[in-house]
Amino acid sequence: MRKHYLLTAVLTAAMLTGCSSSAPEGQSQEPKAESGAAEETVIVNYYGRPDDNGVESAIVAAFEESHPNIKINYVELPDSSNDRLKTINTVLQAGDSSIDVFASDVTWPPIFASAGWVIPLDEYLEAGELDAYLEGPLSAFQFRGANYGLPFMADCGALYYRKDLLDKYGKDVPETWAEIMETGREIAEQEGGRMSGFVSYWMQNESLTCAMLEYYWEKGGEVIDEEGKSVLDEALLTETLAQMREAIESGAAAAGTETFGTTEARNVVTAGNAVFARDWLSGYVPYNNEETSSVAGNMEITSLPSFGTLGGWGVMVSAYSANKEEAVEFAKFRASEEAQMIADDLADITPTLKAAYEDGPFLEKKPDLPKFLPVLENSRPRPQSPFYAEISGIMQLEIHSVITGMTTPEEGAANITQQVAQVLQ
Amino acid sequence: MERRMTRIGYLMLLPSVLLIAALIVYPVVNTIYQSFFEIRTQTAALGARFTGLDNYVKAINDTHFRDTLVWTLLFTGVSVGIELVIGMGLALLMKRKMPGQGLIRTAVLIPWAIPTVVAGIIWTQFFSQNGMINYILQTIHLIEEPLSWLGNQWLAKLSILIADIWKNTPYMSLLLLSGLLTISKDYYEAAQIDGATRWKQFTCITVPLIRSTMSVTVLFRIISAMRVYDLIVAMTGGGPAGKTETVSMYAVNTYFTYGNTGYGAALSVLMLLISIGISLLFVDSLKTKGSV
Repeated sequence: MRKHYLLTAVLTAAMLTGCSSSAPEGQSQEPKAESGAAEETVIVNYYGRPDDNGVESAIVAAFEESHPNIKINYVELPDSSNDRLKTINTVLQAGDSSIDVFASDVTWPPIFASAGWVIPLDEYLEAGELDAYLEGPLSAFQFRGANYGLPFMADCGALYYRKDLLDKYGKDVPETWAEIMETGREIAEQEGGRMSGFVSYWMQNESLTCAMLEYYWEKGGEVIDEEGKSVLDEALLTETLAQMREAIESGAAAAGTETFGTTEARNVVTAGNAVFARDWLSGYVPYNNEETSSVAGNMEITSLPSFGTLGGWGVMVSAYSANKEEAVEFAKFRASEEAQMIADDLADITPTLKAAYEDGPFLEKKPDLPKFLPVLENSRPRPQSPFYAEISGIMQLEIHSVITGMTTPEEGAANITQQVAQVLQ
Repeated sequence: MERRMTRIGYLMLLPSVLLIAALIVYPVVNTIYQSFFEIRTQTAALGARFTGLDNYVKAINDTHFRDTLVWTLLFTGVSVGIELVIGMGLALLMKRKMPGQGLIRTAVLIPWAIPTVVAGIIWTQFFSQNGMINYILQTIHLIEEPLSWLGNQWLAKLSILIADIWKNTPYMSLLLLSGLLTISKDYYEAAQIDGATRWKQFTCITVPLIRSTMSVTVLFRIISAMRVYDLIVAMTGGGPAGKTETVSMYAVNTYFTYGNTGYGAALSVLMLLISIGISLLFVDSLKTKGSV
């Protein structure tokens, strides 16, 4: 229960204060002894992603080397995105200065920006500095005309298709959702066996909301207007839900799609049992890994009809930070080409900088990268409302209720429209 | 002299009292306090607004909260009930002298030692559309088509219960075993001389003598089952359509993910009250019939 989280939070806070009070004693003396300069070492607390493959610690080390006056105290956040939000939420809610800069999911900026817990970076940036970033990933950190963060890792929804099967049956790459399901079903019927037309992960979680939005955007639907009020179109929503339910009931989508998480859905693809898949950019590598995938080399990537949902991560700076200047300095470095290159060397990432797709070391290492560019350019952020998490919670529950046959598309659409309007009133 | 000793005694208690105050009393009091306000992360800059009992009224009228509460209570009742029966059976079995006793006692503990999230992921794989359970059932021709274990609300609830029972029975059986081991053999010998059957021995000696151990064990399990969170998050994420979402999951989502601090606090307080209510029932039974 809640008690539990607070307990962890208090313990973490206790450990943090313990760290920060003891660290300066040990560390601040070294540089003084070496250089004898009057400059003091500043400690910046960075709450980063988990240190998988040592990415974060390698970036921190590179930063400290080039900025001898700044020491980074890197704190690993929990593994799940929601738990990370909880941790940061708890500290910032208390107005605590123990976080200076932190890694942020693309859906968080509106929450923190409207709460006044993060600072706009505009005054710290030089003119044109933001032009280096791809517009899609950057737009997620823009809220009410200001830039609250810098993206360091891009992701978005994409359509994957079996090139060999489309060629075999003389089909073009579909451009609408209806075509995807239709072509998929046709090919699956002719192939027989365990082949299915389409697979994705539609269990009740965040990816389900994204999947629904991608259908809904195709019909021209919008969720919120510029003032943040609901502009959901109940008729379009009904159509969307009916289409998703149809995909499950007609068997166009692989049996069990409504219960699949990432692993289960990807297993269907790598076993060679799906014509189309909706996945994130991160699916490209596992799908085309010759050791684990029977369809390696045949799984092509393209843009989804209309838009794909934007994912990925960036950095934001806390409004309660005592060392904002140094924190921004680190934030810039965390999103720089050097840091993204370090990350890509240790773990596979999709860069957020335009230059990476044009030439240079990234392209040399990943010749497939330009394929991702049109997909990323065709992506848009989820509704940028501070209440997005709650909206998504409502949507997940109602969409899942419709696709598992517990409510009708009409009921689902009416519930979503009414409840979302209530949240955003 | 004596007064001085008393004072020193209290002073020595101080660290633990402070620790309890900081880690338990403060969060609880703060949660109760927050539950009377309209506080949202998103509007934190505007401050909190006192709304009295509004959050509680909202909770009572919130159908989703009622659904989650019913499922949480059902989950607790069924899982703890079945765990008690199986746990008792295992405990009686483990008490017997047999070769490899130590090994068996260790082996039984394994499910309990596995981290809950890991267990949840393992069971999700078993119950998935193309998973082992469907494969076995199809191989022995019990079913023709694979069942959607995690997509149907009743099957999903059953899957979660099976996973939880598998996970927590060992804990139950070990505590019951420790209770069984304290019963003197003399009682059984005397009963045997009087010609009591095994069943009679079980109902008239074993059960009354481990009642207090049993009460404590069941109480512990009820309290932890009421706040079940990680297992279900790993298995269904609350799906299908929120039907397996528990009160803790709803409270955590509301408080942290949705940023609705005041309402989330009210949900937590309600859950706390229900837990305390259930615990009181047991404390009472411990006092009156407990020790022999």
